[in-house]
Amino acid sequence: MSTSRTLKTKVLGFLKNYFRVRIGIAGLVIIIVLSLVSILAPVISPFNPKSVDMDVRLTGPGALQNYPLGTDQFGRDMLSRLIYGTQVSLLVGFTAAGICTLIGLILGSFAGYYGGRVDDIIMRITDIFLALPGFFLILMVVAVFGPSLSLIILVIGVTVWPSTARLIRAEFLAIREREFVSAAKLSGASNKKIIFVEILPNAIHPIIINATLLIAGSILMEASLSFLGMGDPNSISWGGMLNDSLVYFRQAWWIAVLPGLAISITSIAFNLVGDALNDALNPRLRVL
Amino acid sequence: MMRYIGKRILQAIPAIIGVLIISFTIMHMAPGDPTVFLAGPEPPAGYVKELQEEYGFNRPVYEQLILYLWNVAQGDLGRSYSFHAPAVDVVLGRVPLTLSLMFSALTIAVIIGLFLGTEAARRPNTKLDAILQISSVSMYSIPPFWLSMVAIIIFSVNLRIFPAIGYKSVGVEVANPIIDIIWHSVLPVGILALGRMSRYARLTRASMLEILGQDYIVTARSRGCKERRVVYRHGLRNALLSITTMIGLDVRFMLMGTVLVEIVFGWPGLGSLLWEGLLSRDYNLLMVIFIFVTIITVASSIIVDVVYAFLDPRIRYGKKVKLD
Repeated sequence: MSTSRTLKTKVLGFLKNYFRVRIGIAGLVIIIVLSLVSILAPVISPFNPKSVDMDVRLTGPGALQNYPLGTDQFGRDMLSRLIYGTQVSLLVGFTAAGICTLIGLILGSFAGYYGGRVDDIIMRITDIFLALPGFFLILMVVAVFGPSLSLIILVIGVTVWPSTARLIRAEFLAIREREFVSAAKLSGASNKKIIFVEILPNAIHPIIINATLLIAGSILMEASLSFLGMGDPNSISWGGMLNDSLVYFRQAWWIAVLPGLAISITSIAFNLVGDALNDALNPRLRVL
Repeated sequence: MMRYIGKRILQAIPAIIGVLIISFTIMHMAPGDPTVFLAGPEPPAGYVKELQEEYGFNRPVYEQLILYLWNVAQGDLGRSYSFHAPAVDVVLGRVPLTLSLMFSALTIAVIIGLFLGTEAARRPNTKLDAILQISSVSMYSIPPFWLSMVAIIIFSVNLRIFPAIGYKSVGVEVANPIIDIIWHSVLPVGILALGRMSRYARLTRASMLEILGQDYIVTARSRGCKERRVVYRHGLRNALLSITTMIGLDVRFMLMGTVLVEIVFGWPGLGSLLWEGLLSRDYNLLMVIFIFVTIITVASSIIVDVVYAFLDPRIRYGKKVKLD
């Protein structure tokens, strides 16, 4: 009874804090809309995004009624391509951030909880990964093994984890000294149980905030790779559209401006939600 | 201090060797080898094999790695297949162009960021605050290479104010070559600086707000110091510490941004070289670029740590410290 009540006040308090940060709501709405667009892409896009029609190539936005956002240099409908582009961005964002958080969680929690030699070894590996220029490493791997969506997701996740591991380690280091952890230890709980049942729920806020920001980062990373021509050639991505536009964008502004706008809006939305969550969950930091 | 610097450099060596091994392994696990590109579309019989022998591609990967590390130890990082020259020479020729772009942008971003952040801290919760907050989130989210394309569309194609490509005019008589280069760098430097500026401003604002409430600031004010002197002389000095840390972490992001912006502007630095290396599958060249990027990243973090130690007298690395 009492636990459900504290939970209720907690949830209410959180929502109140969160809704105060109106700008975060705006971000959340954008994310929901984008998710709907990506799910409904086959239904709402007016054309097949890959169908070529050289008769209407490089049509400006609004010039032809059928193509409200114009066409690219192969006469493909910009609107349909932008709609399908949400799928790649959201897929890469969520899964790469997920992989990264999972690796960071496992390594960070072990290092922070066990300390000593385990901590030393894990942190040494983390330091080496932190010294590597991540983007260039990802670029090399994708360039060498040939670009595919699953490889891009995997490589981003496997390269970007060190800062997450550090964050989680710091949380675990702090929480492990608290009384309820000692109490759990004394009552004979296993290490696994203490890590996942006792400590993790108390460290979940920074992990969620970090994951939101990682999604934005991964989306930008995928866009940058595709921009360099290292995106999955079989899927439609906004970064890839920018790469396609490099030759003609001086004559046809829309083929460069629109995809970049889509990338920016998506990334801003996730960053805004991350910031708002930070404000809502970490009232101490609100001054910043 | 010298000892500390030496120690930091020694610590960096494993990371660089690690990079050598990682990048070598990745490159050589690749399907196919560059001899296919070297040999051209219709090579004479046996020519590909001859090339493989010559460059050692037919040996096991670990043997190639040992040979490679041995060569690196002697200062030989291999030849660039597409440029027909030592890869180090090709990369070294481009490094200054990238670094000058990056550091001009960084300098401008820090100076303006410090100024804006300090002004925002002097009058908290005003419009300047809101603008800084919004612009810092958006500049963090907008890809700089796309912003470069937008800038070219606006300023080069439509307004015809700034040139769209290269770092100097080609085939045209220019009155002053230095002004010509500056003219070409306005857009790329501006975009890179814009990307960092608001973040430095926000950070400065946060640490200034904290500092301006401290006792020694109150003391300085009560002694009748002019407000501007209090803020810029006493306050900003301490705010510099957090900015310095931030710059150290920033260099890798800056490098990524610079490389991509270079490609859009056709600025012939590391980014354009990377682009060419990717297109021609020039393993050695890509590897040397990767190594140089790592060295720049590691070196800048060492420099930042040393600057930090100079700025904050409380931090003394090592036991014997002489400040001269």
